[in-house]
Order: sequence, then structure tokens, then C-alpha cells
Amino acid sequence: MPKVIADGQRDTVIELVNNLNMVTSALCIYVNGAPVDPMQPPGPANPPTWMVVDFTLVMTARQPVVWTVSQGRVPDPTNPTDPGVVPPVQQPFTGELKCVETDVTGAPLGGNALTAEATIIDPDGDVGKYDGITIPGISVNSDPVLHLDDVEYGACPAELRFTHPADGEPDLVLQGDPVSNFLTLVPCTQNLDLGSPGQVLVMADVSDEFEQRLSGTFQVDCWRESTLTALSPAFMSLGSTVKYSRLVPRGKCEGGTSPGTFCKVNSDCPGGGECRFPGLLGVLETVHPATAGAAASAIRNLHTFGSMPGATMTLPSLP
Amino acid sequence: MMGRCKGKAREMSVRDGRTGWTKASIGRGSAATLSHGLVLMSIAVFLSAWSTRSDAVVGSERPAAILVFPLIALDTGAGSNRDTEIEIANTQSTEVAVECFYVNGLGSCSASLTVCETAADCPVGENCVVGWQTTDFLFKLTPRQVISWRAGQGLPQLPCDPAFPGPSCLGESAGSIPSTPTDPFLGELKCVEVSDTVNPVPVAANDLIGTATIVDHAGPDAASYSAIGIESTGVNNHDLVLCLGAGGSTCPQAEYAPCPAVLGMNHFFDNATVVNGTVRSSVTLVPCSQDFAGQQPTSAVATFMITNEFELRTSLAVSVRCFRDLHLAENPIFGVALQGSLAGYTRIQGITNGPINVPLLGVVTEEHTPTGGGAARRAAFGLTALGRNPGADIITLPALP
Repeated sequence: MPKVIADGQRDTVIELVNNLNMVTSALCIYVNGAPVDPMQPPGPANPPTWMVVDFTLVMTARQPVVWTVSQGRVPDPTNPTDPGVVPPVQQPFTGELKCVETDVTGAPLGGNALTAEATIIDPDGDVGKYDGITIPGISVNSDPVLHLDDVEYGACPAELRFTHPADGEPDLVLQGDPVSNFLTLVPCTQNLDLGSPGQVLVMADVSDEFEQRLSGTFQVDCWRESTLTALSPAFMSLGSTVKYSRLVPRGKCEGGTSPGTFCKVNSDCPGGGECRFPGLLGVLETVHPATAGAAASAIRNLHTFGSMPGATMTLPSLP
Repeated sequence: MMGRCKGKAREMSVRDGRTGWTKASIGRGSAATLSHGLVLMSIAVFLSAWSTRSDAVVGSERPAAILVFPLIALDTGAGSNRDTEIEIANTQSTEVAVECFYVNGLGSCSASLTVCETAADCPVGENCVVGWQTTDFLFKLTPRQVISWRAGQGLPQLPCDPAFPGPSCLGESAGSIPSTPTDPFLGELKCVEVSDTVNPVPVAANDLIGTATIVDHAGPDAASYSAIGIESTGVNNHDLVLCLGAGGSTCPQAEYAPCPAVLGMNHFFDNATVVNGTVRSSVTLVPCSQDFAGQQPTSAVATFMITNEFELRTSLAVSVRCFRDLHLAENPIFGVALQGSLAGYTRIQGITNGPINVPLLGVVTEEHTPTGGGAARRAAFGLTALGRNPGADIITLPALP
């Protein structure tokens, strides 16, 4: 779930379900992407906190578990099937939640048992909801390094694709102030053990109903949320009402003589380096203002295209 | 609506990247005969689409050949101002044509003939007679073109249509989009990728994505969901019978991904208190199979197997004929009072008396009403597709005059 908010204003409710007819365990990890100084805007001088908190749930057959992120979940001692404790997050929290299916020892398991929803609720009662993004297990081994390579787990998409109302144009129905789109993105590659945040360079390719096409690039460190037009001028409306956007994550050289350089193919990495693709996941929240200052928000999952093997997720070591 | 051939053997147009539209005859079960005028890129795209995809799926993530919007709502009558914004994009770098169908899930009162969803909308003593009115339309999108329209207004002129003055485009769109046939309207929109707008036949390509946002001035309120995509397998005999999965003599080969055997729904129980608000939900279900040619509505019994947080299970069955917008509050089994649990997980399976699987597709709408008063605000989200129907589901397109 790339977008989880508990900042004293907005709060998030998580629904996590074991859809199998047998007991399933899950290791869940909050990653706080709030800026180090929450009073200042995020940026290179105010990077994400990257604070990682993990917890374990044990769910009986087809059991749903629900909790509010700001409050966590207190176990019910009278319930023999209680799934466990969820700690409350340290606020302000603006980040992501990842859950990995495991066996009772905490080792990764590829049962594909988990589905989830996240509901973000505003103080005025406005709600947005999206489906948790699922990555299937294929041939999962028990080590804590999860390879998203279409062998151990499904690979992250080669592209994210989505339609959206143009930033800065009034909503078709409400006809109020301009629409704003808030894109939330997280890299697929994360080292949750060493606390090493992922970093992705993203190429945006944006077209509209008049075949106008613009492109641009921007970077995602750890967790990024931004209006589209702040990410890149490629998202400017230019008089259109609707856009179709493609986000293509670029690779990064590993080894060779220029490690860390952004790349498309191995030959971009001199000295025998390998171009590794960190992958990208995300959701889009669109705020539709009406008249009199009120607004309605809706969250949508992004479409995916192709697969880009190469991302790895390293789980935290057990104490 | 533009003219279209009748019968099984039909003409298919293939885009020539340089000189416009050329035609090749493709009959049912025959191999494609391509015009010599095709550029190499078109051939490559065409042939790659021809290879069978065993991993074709039904879901909301990837571009697909068929888009299903299970819930389109319009009501601009007294006291209401609700409409649906629909976005459809061509993700391909070539032109695509699309044939769409509005399916009206509302009925009319037995004597007064006013529009109704249930008998409660009719005068006392009258029934709500559910109809199955469909409205179809065709349009063509230029490479990577995206369009949006309000269900209540349609889109009489597509951007980039040379018939209308406006910004010049390299490609040429065509066709128009009508508004929904009634106001109020509550129903489904289904779109199929086809060869062209003159002699449309289904094609083996996965180029479409879409989103619907139901917007209401009350609140204000906006709820978005991604259209459910049904992927092509890469095989298509270009007749009007679309085989979703394989099975029986009608569908010896799968042209599209099989429908899910079961739908998984994560939900709050009705009247649960969630962050200073009370939640009520509804699930909208439509059958995978649809006969647009014979105008025969598909019926199913939707069975609900509900598990609460204490692992207690209850079940329920409701009928679905063509379209069903089921408010969970209609049955106390979905109530927080009966379940004593905040959230549940429900598996939904469509069957007939056989029991034969009648796979369903759907979307959930959740309504949060602030405890302290105020307008309800909504969110929409998809259901999880679980398993594959072992048989074939069939969508039959109408033959146009």
C-alpha cells in the first residue's frame, strides 16, 4: 500500500485479508516517508525520514484484520483467533505499508494469500480508497532477500500507465476550482534491513485528447508524493481536459566503473557494469474541487504494463 | 451508428501506416490475408498479437481488449446532481477502434412506467419491472489518445475528428459517444476493441485502459475505480461471438481470458463506525456473459460466503439478472450488529441451478457518513479475481444492419 497517511488530519484504515482456507502469517512493515522536518516542504535539503517499523500478524482461514493506522490494533485476549498487535505509527506519518506472507518462523512464503484495501479519511469525512498492490509469489525461497524477477516473485512493471483529469482544469461535473492530481510513488527495490532507501529516475510521457505529447524526468527517493505539475512540466494541461500518462522507471548501474549512473541497458554501464531496474509502484489521488471551497477526493490504482525483473526487497533481520 | 456486415465472414480493416485504410478479408476460423500495402511495423504488431497468450487475465491492472465498467450512475433530477466521468485511453501507438454498450440496469414501474431501481421507487401496489436496454456506439482513437466524457452528456464530437474544426492532429478520430439513454441511469458500460468503425469485428489486441469517477454535487463527492480489463489471448476468429475461456462447441478456443471463478471482497460491515463515520456499502455485480445480439439478459444466483474477524462464517444468496446493485444493508447478515465485527471478507460466486458457474464481475461502493452529521462521502474499489472459470463465457455482439 504505497499511500498511508496519519498526520493528525487525515488517517488511514487498513483492511488485510487472508483469502486462503488455512492459517497464514504476514510480516508487515511501515516505511515513513515524511520529511525529516515535517514543518518544511520535502526536498533534497529535507529528505524522507525512512523510518521502518515492522510487526507480525497470524491470520486464521479467510480472516480479515482491520486497524486504524494512527491507533494501531490492540489484541483481544478473549479471542482465540486474534491475529496480533499492530503498533500505532509515530505521527506525522506519510509513507507506505508493505506486508509479506511468511511461515510461522518468519521466513517468506509464496502462498499468495494476502489481499488488502487502504481507506484514507479526511477530517471532513471525505474518503478515498484503493486496492493494495499485490506481487505474486512464484518459487519463493526462505531467505530474506526477495527477488522480484518473475522467478521468485512477480517482477515490478516496466511501465505505470494511467488516465487522469488534466491538472489545473475544472472538473467536468463539479465545474469548480481546478483539479489537482497527487501522485504517490515508491521504488520496488528497498533494503529494509540496512535502511537503505530506494531511488528511481522516472521518465514521464504524457499525451492528451489532441495528441499533444510531452515528456520529462523526475526522481523518486524512498517515497514521493507530489502534484503532477510539480513533478514535471510534461503534465501541464495545455488546454486539454484529460491526460494519458506513462511512467517508465530507468535502471541504475551496479558494478563497473560508474556505479549509480542511470541507465537503460547494460551497455550504458562502462567497465562491465550491470543495469539494474529498481521498479516503481504507486497510486493517484485526484482532488475535485467544487464551489464554496469544498472538494472531493478519489484514489485510483495505476495500470501496469510489461515486467521489469531486477528489483529486490530485503526484509529486516529478526532480532 | 454506422453500417456493418451481417453474418460470420466479415471484413476487417488493418491500418496502413502510410496510405490510410486497407482491407483484408478474414473469415471465421480462417487465417489472415494481409494487404501487401502494410508497413513492416504493422505486421510485427499484428503477428505478435496473433501468438496465443496463456497468461491472459481478467483484472484492472493491465491494458486489455474488453473494458467493463460495472457501475455507471446518472441522476440529475430534483434534489440530485450525480454523474459519471468516463476516461478511456488507447495505450497503443497505432489507431484503435472501440465498440461500446451502455446496459441500463434500471426498470420501469409496472403501471406508471416511471423509472425505478426497486419496487420501493414505485407507487404502492406496483412492481419494478427490470428491463435490459442496451445502447451501442462506435468510435476511433488516434495513437495514445485519451478521451473523457460525462455519462449524462456523451461526446458528440471526438477531438481530432477531421469532420469538426479544432486543433489539428496527425491521426484521425471518428465516431461519437451518446449520453446514457435515460436520466436517471444506473447500469453498466462495456467496451470491446474492434477493427474499425465501418465494418467492426473483434480483434486480438490489448490496448485499452479506462477509469470511471462517479461525482456528486452533494458532499461534494467523487469515487473512482479502474475498469475491469478482459485480455485477449492473441487468438480471434473475428466473428461476433466472443469466447471468454474455452469450452463447448461454440468456443473450442479461448479468444479472451476466462472470467474469475470467485470474487473476493474486503469490506466493512454495514453501520460499522470507522474513524468518526458510519459506513454502508453496496456491491454492483454484472454477469460475464452477455447476449447483446439476442438481448437476452443473463441470470445468476450470487452466493456470498462471509467470514468475519472471529473466523465465523455465514452465507447468503441473491439473484442477479443482467445488473444488480446490492446494498449490503438489504440483508442484516452484512450488519455490524449481527456480525459483532468491524470488517469482513466475502467470497462471491455466481451459479445457476445446475449448479453451473455463471461468473460475475463487480465493483464496491463504500459510503461514509460523518457521525456528527453531514453528507455521505463515497469511495469505490475493485473486487479481487480468484481462480478461473473452467468453462467459457460468451459475449455476443449484435450484427448491425
